[in-house]
Amino acid sequence: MIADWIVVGGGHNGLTCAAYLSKAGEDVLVLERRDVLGGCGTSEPAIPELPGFTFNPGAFDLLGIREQPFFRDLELEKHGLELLTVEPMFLMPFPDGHRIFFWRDLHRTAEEIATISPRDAERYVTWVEFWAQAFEMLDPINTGAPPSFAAMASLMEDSPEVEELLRVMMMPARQYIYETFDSTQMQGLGAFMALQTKSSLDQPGSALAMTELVMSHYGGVYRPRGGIGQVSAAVARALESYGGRIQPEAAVAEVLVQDGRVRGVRLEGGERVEARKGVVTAIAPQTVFLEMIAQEHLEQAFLHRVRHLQNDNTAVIKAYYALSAPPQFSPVGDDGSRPEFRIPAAMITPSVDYADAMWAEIRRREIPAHPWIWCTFSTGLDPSMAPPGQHALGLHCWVPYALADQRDWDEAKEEAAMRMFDTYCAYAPNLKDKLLGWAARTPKDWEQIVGIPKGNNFHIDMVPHQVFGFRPLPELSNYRTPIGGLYLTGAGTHPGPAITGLPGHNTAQEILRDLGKVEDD
Amino acid sequence: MPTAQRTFDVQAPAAMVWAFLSDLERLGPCLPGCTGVDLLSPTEADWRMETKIGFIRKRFVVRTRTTTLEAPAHAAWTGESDELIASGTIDVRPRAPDRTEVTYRGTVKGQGPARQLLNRYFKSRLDRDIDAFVANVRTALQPEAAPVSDP
Ligand SMILES: Cc1cc2nc3c(=O)[nH]c(=O)nc-3n(C[C@H](O)[C@H](O)[C@H](O)COP(=O)(O)OP(=O)(O)OC[C@H]3O[C@@H](n4cnc5c(N)ncnc54)[C@H](O)[C@@H]3O)c2cc1C
Repeated sequence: MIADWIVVGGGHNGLTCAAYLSKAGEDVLVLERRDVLGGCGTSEPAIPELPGFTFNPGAFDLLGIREQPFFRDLELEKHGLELLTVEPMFLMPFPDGHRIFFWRDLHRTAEEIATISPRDAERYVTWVEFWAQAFEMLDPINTGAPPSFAAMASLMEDSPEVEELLRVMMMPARQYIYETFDSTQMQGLGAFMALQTKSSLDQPGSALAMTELVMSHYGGVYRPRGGIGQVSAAVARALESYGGRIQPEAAVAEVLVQDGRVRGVRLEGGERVEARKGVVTAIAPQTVFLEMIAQEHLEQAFLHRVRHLQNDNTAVIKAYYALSAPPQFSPVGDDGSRPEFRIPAAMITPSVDYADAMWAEIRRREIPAHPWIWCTFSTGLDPSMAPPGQHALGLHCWVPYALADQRDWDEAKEEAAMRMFDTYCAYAPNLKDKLLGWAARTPKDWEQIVGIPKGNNFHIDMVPHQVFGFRPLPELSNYRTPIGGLYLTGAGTHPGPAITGLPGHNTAQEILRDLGKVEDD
Repeated sequence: MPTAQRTFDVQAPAAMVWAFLSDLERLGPCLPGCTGVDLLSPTEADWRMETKIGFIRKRFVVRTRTTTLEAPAHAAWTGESDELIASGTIDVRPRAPDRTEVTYRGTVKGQGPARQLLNRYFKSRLDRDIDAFVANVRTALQPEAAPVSDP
């Protein structure tokens, strides 16, 4: 095999980068180790004995996808992506019988919050409006290589809002949560959101993760009909329509370098694939430099920095459950007649104390007894995900990569999956005897199936020293590497994880700039 | 370079539309964010601009020159400040005694240390800005139309 450009990894970012290059007339070949495209964003029949069910083993919801460049530029709707609107966007149930629906409409959401705390409802509106303005400023930073801090600073003028923004960006979430909300429930919401980046509530900078909720109000939440894998399927169709090629079941073992320039790759089977112009790796950056390139091609000091990229052992487990009935959230006022209970993703972390307990359990390297859980009941919006009358549920939470009791994850899988299910059933007790089957993807599975180091779905941690122009390292942040013709993309590059296509888009723009195909802006 | 173009009709005679759009002093205030114009000569002006991107409020003065004036159909201008280079062309075509078709094409490109970031900002709002420009021209020439101001 031979191509001008080889892209290693057929996750949505590798495919997106390849599609932009193909669209610009480049000859591109994507090499994917699996027989399924999409990486952490696939849709698959994850329970072998129940093939009629389709699950999303990783990602499930799309935030603000209509605003993303790849959605428009690659004409994903024309290539078969059908978006279903998730409304309400989220449901937060609490053990005391309260619940909050988060609607796209901010004021409708505030009315929900006011039933718990009128003051928090007001604060929520102010908080969302503040961050919406901040995102108007921050969003363009994400649609290209991260600008230098000097460039960003040159645009800033002193104002109370800018000072507030900088203050909060350095804050630990705990501080920001207590400063912003009074009620235990809204503090729980803040903790849930902050924990999304797998940082402790005391990590400086962790407050920023709370703002995902803000983006949802402005960009909306969507789910592709047929599952999240339809995003990558649509990108792949776009890529092929531009003449690009995809080779599944082609695991890359080595990136071949000669005289400081990338020459191609070697597959696990031994076959060499020549790259006439370059190689883009759309997998974790530490894997590329520490496992795929002969060390003599890289400086020791550089390798030392890559070796110390933060990937601090917090990983993800996602379990899938085939059900014979939909959930009924009777403890929080669901009599089964209101469809809005069965549409949104539910978020379980009822208080800061609960979040602290979970974090302590993870630090002790235990399976959390207080799991922070994202819950997606997919058949509520898209019945095609299960046979008629049956239902599909996905639950995921953070777990330690290695358990303190030395158990292998294959052994611990069931305990973790059932603990999440039991926690969910506390809010949807009707499901206790409705389980038809289950499966789970543990950190070990993520590592073995998708190749993500330590089962970290962010490829490297999302912490302040690994974001913007520091992701994955300052010297790699514009997607170029010390090896000529070798570029990085994917969740380990700016702006990081999530199904946004942004790393793929941004890397392609930098390559096309180097090729003289886009103007130097 | 972020570029946008619009063709639109104005309910006014071509001579009146031409006189308005070929005059830097009257054209400038139709651009969203223009807070004032200092006319330096019949073909040169300073447009005082203010733009707001989230919490960033940036003020700058764009030195503008008319580069082409082919009355009554085509005009072109260029402008420059420390932060940006901009240009525009205007084509005016009579459609009826009191109806004129206008084609406006505008480009803007960042300069200086933040040029890449500025270009992304410009790109993200150029369409919105040019729609606001069209609405402002219409309001100025057909007073019954509603004005659009810089958000
Ligand atoms: C449980 C979970 C829930 C999530 N929820 C959401 C959500 O709701 N919304 C959202 O936007 N995001 C979510 N995410 C995050 C999102 O899925 C990822 O950030 C995103 O998929 C990253 O895309 P990527 O293309 O950069 O990398 P990946 O998806 O990791 O893809 C990498 C690809 O490279 C392939 N590969 C690896 N090694 C090799 C090799 N040696 N040779 C060839 N191919 C190789 C892999 O098989 C894979 O296909 C979630 C992730 C997980 C795990």
